[in-house]
Amino acid sequence: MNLLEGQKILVAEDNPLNQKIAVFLLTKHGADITTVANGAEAIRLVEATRFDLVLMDIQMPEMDGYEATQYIRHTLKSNVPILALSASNYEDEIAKCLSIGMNGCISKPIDADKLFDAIRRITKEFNITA
Amino acid sequence: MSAPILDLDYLNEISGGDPKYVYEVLTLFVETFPAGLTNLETLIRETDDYDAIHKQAHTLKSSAGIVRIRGMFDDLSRIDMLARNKSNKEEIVARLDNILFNFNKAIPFIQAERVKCRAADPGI
Repeated sequence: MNLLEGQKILVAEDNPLNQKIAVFLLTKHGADITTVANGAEAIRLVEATRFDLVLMDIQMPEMDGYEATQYIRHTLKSNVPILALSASNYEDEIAKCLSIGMNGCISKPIDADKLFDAIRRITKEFNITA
Repeated sequence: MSAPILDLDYLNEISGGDPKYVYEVLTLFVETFPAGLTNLETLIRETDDYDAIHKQAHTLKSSAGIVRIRGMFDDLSRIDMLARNKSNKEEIVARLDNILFNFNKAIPFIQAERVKCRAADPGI
């Protein structure tokens, strides 16, 4: 069975190339993907739909990934696993991702092995099954 | 030896060399990247809005990590960092000039790759 068979994943990413890479990799492993291009849309969908995982870009227009995550954690009180996508390797950004309740951070361009390692870890931590 | 003007190793690795997928990503790149680059140039040459420069360079940097044009990822990373620290406009301008030079040089290579992809997959 594919690693992500039956899992619903929200990809919040405004850069169309990164979005295309993420969707390609996740779909190849059986995931059911929904995409949005800003944090506000991500919030709306997390509120309305049950996702197994959210891939959240940090820097997006209208509402960034930090603000969206804080809203999801504090206002929606949702524990949906959130994996940050960051084009930076700044230590302060990575630390901030974790401090506001994200469950991990991977850098862009996405390294497929690192992405799936992070997803495996989160899947185990959250006991997500297909 | 200098790096190739266009390096599609990442894209080929991700896609398993699927010409249709490579074609789609390259097409998306040529459709979206130039507008962002023009915006970056305007911001750098006509403003001192470091925050906007940082954000635009940051966005372009992630595209440049996928379709790799010689020196571009490093130049954009450097602009991203300098603008974040609101420093060294002179180096930012020099890096921008280098990016524009390499981008213009790479465009025919990107178009040639797209032609190659179409030849490899008549379904495109």
